[in-house]
Amino acid sequence: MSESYPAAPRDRQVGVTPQPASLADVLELVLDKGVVIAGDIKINLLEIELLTIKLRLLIASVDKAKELGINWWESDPSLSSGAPAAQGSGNGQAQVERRVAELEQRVEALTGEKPPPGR
Amino acid sequence: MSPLYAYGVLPADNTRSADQPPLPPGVAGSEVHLVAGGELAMAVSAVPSEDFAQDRLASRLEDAEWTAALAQAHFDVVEALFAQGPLLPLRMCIIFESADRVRAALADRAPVLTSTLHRLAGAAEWSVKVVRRPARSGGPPVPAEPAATSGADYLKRAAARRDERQDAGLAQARFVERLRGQLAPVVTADRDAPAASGHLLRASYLVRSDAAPVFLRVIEDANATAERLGLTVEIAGPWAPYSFVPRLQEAS
Repeated sequence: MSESYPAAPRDRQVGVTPQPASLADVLELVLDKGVVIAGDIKINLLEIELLTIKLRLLIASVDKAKELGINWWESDPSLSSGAPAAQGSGNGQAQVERRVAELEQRVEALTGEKPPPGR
Repeated sequence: MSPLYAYGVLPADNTRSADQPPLPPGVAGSEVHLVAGGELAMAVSAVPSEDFAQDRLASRLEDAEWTAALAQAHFDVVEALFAQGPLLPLRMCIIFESADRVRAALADRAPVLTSTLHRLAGAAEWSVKVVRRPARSGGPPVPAEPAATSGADYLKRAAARRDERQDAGLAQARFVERLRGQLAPVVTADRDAPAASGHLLRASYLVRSDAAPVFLRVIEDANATAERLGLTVEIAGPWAPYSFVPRLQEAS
């Protein structure tokens, strides 16, 4: 599928050459929008929504997705534990959490007992 | 009998002239053709029931790569049809069991489909986004400040930096409002897309083809200002008016 659409040029901010639809645009348009006429074969809307999320995850690494402006899950607390720290410090909180998890594992290994939950 | 996968609704008299480029193949590789019913027609292509029957499609759609390829093929056909004349783009995965069922669906919805085709004739959808440019890498180096001499000094500097950020934020917000105001008289309709972080504006605009040059000039002029504010105006399109068609959910 990657050869079927051109990669977005890096210098898209120069001038106003309109861009062709990226795969992110395509998905947004054809999955979320357009006329819905009752067909004979039905897929329910929840399936479509889940699908949209999966596809957005598929088409891009997190960095690429940011570039495309589809990093909405970062600000959604139900999808990202780092949501409250999303502005400013970026992934700082994620790093801290990873580090805490590592240290907890080491404490567990050394003492044989789990540290108390919650912090 | 193969199911028919549908792409869009168009006027039935919209006959293709011979010099038009051929349509790309349909989502499963078979040729796209029109099923006419009354004054309307639906562009469809046959698809294999192994993938597109009711009990198969949901599991096929779980394969994200398969689905992404399907979305792209759907979009390519819609855009090729749209390049030839008025078209109401359908959402992905609207599938009928037979040409008769296609005609029945057209007949059911004929009034609203026809009036929407008239309303949208000659207009296309554009996407406009205003994004913050990532922190500068090429700009002039920021001179290092001498270390704060006291706690009060530190707090004063922190407050000054905060004020600077707030001023920049205000200027950016004013810029977006001004851009919206400049686009309003040029476009036929607009829809805001769901907000995404880092975006100050994410909107779809319906623009008549005769207004497109002015529309593009507004964006171009805005981009010069955007640059100074650390912003970029991104524009994509034109494509079929996906965001401006009625949803027409199932009647049931």
